[in-house]
Amino acid sequence: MAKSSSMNTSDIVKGSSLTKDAFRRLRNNKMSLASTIILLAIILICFLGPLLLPLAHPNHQDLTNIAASPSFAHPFGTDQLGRDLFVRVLYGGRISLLVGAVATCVSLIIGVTYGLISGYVGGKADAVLMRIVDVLFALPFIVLVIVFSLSIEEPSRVATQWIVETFGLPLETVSPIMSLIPLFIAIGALGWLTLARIVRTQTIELKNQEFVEAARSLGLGWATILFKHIAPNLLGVVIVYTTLAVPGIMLLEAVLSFLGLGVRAPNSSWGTLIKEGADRMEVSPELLLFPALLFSLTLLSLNFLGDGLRDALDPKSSKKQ
Amino acid sequence: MRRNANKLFSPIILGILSLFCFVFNSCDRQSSVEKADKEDILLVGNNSEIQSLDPHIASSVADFKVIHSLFEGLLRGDNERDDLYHPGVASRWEMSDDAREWTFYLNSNIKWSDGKNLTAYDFEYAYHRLLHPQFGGRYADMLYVIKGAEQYNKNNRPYFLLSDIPNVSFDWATLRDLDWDKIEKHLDDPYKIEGLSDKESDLIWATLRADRDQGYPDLWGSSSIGVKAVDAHTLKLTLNDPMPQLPLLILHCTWFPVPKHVIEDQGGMLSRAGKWSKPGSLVSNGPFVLKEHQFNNYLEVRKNPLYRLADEISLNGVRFLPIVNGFTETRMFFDNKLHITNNVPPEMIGYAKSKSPLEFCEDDYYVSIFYRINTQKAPLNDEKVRKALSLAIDRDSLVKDVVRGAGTASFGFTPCGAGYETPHQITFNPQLARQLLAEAGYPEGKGFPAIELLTTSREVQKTMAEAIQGMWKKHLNIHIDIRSCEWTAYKQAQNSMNYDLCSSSWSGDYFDPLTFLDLWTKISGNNNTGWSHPDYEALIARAKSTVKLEDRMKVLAEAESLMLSQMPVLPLYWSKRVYLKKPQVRHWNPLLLDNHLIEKVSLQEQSK
Repeated sequence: MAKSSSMNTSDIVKGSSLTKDAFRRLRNNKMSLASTIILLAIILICFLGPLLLPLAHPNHQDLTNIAASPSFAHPFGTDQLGRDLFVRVLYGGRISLLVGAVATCVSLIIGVTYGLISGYVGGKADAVLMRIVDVLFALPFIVLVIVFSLSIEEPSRVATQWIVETFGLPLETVSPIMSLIPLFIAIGALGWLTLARIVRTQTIELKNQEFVEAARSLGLGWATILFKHIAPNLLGVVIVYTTLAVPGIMLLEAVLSFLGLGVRAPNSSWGTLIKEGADRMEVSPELLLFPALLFSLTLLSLNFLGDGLRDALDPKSSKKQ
Repeated sequence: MRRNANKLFSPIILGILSLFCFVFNSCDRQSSVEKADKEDILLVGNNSEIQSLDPHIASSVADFKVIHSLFEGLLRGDNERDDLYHPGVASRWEMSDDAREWTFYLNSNIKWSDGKNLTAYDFEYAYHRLLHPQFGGRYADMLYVIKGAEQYNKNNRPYFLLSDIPNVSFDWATLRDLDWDKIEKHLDDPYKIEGLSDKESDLIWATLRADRDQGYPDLWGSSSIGVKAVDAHTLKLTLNDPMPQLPLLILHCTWFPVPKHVIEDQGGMLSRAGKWSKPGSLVSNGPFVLKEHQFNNYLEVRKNPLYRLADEISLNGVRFLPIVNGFTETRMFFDNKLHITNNVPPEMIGYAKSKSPLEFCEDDYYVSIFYRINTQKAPLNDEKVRKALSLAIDRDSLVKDVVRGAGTASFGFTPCGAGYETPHQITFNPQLARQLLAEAGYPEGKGFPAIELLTTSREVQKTMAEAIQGMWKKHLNIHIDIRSCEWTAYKQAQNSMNYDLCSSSWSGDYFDPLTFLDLWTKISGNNNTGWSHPDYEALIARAKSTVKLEDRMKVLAEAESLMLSQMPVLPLYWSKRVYLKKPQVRHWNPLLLDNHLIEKVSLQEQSK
């Protein structure tokens, strides 16, 4: 028994693993590779830029220098209150990327767990759980998010006050973060529906396969089987879904901010920057151009990367290549 | 399912966007304005979606503009000057020597748009309705100049019950100071009221009990109310104080008649949700009648063939477009979709001016832009905090850099004009501001609680709010959150005082400083700050009863000084009205109160 298992391991090491294969295929996909590099560059400059470069504060106003054109001091120009657009775009990127990442994580956790349980337990429980998803699907998503984020606005205000009083943190750092939390929860809590369905289908497929039977006959508990044996096999699907979900969620954040529900002034996300820019496009087009450019680049990169990952992780599609 | 929903999501959004583009671009070879020119329809940008066309419920400028085109009061304003008036429904009028009693003689062949005759009873009905204590009209105080109107509106029943009793020696003046709340509680075990004889005391108890036993009937018929329709064509008004300027006051929509027969038919006098003011059932007497209302799209009125001067109206109709975003509105104007815009955002002034100097208009306007403060809520219930906030606003910079010169920095609340000298009471002094804030218990802004500044979704207000937020951060080291709401939600929050700071503006209803200072009395339906002061009430009352103009203005200035010394509001600037107007629009003249008589406007054909 021990001998055969060691044989197996060495076989896998020698052979080409799924992950390795996937990476090789991804590397060969030039679009995906370029997207990855652009994406990494944007993430790095948004998060490290303000730390490393001597930049102005994003909310620092200079009313004597309003709507200036791009110059050496202000590479993207300044906005209607004389704030440096470059810095605002970087900070806006932080918020947009953060919303994308956090909200995706929330929907990931809910969606995977829900789908796993529904698929594995099956029967009546499955039917009930999936009907709930159907019902939620039938509701208009954006309306739901709006209602939801409005209804947790008041509790989040109370929480802000409490945090400020308890931990003695300055209000202007707590308040913007707290104003994002409703957004995180709202988008995340309602964005898991598709994922739950995907995971459920996969789980049903997997749970009747031999390795699960084997695990079951060894007397393992359902939780172990679910999370140790089935979940890892879903990884590919989930990764692909996630990469493709992030742009959707960032877009949704932009839509909500565009509607005035997302990030609160004076802080900005790419969504709010684009809105402000769109209003003023005749007067100072750069206010629209730069945030829109970065936003589109990020979204396109994420989409191409997602496509690449899907091709790379799907053995069937790879055979065709 | 593996090719998951997000792949679908983006095409859907793209699809919607391209559909929008398609709808907006494909419309015409012929622009909206050209089409409207041919049909003699005026396209006007009207700020926000209307809330109500009921003259007694409406309270925003957008509503009033439409109502002005639909209804006509006793008198009609002038197209060129704010201080002139002409016959309206009334063809002539008289006032008594002391300017307290006014008689209006109505034109006998005025008709509602459904063909019914308009009579003096419609006016009496309108004033009865607005003042009715159970109706809750926000603008009821506009009618308080009428004798007994205030008491009736506040449901001060003893005033009417006792003044109607014949042959008694006491009058209301001697009874005013009695504790009526206490008396009402003791109706069933009466005591002798001090200062009155037994007989008089008994009479009061008996009258009040009889009133209760009859189920508190409506007291409108009392002889102490100064509105009386003598016959179908004569309306008599009796005022509290001498008011030679009454004609200017009654140009406001709150004085307009409403169709009694329609309202009674559609839910009755007190129904606020009645359908009578909706398209299809709205009956009016003005130059135009309501034709169509598409929510968030447009509201169209058409010429009223039964209007008394219908032959003189050159327009066939007017379309009011509720466009909140000034950038969009300006863009639509240059795209030939509007004849007249409501405003040009400050940031576009330079652009609009250079693009089309002839279409650019900058008129003086009787308006004040300010922030209301909720004086009931900590920390803003502290006068020092309010003053500190005011002292830390650099208004000159606001006007120069944010409003781009389309206004004047406020040094008081009421704009100058109409013979009024606004007291200089507002300055920029960050040093003093910090000191006051420290005295209030927040040195260097430490521990200052989270407060919120409520604005509408207008982009000018948002920019302004961010600029002021920056100034407070810089000078006082305090952080204010900004919440921008859509108009209806904003108005609701303001009216229910569910805010901390609230960006506001007030444009004069008539050309007199009282229209601004009246706001801050306790009874004003538009006060919404929770602030009131007995001395202020007294000063305003004194100003109202002072006839001599100079003295009156002095008393008003004194009242304003008192108000500003407690800062229930943060005055910001006095705005100009900046808008765009197509050259073919004729007879649209600059007016301080912005009450344009749209029926006089004409569209001149352009030579091509």
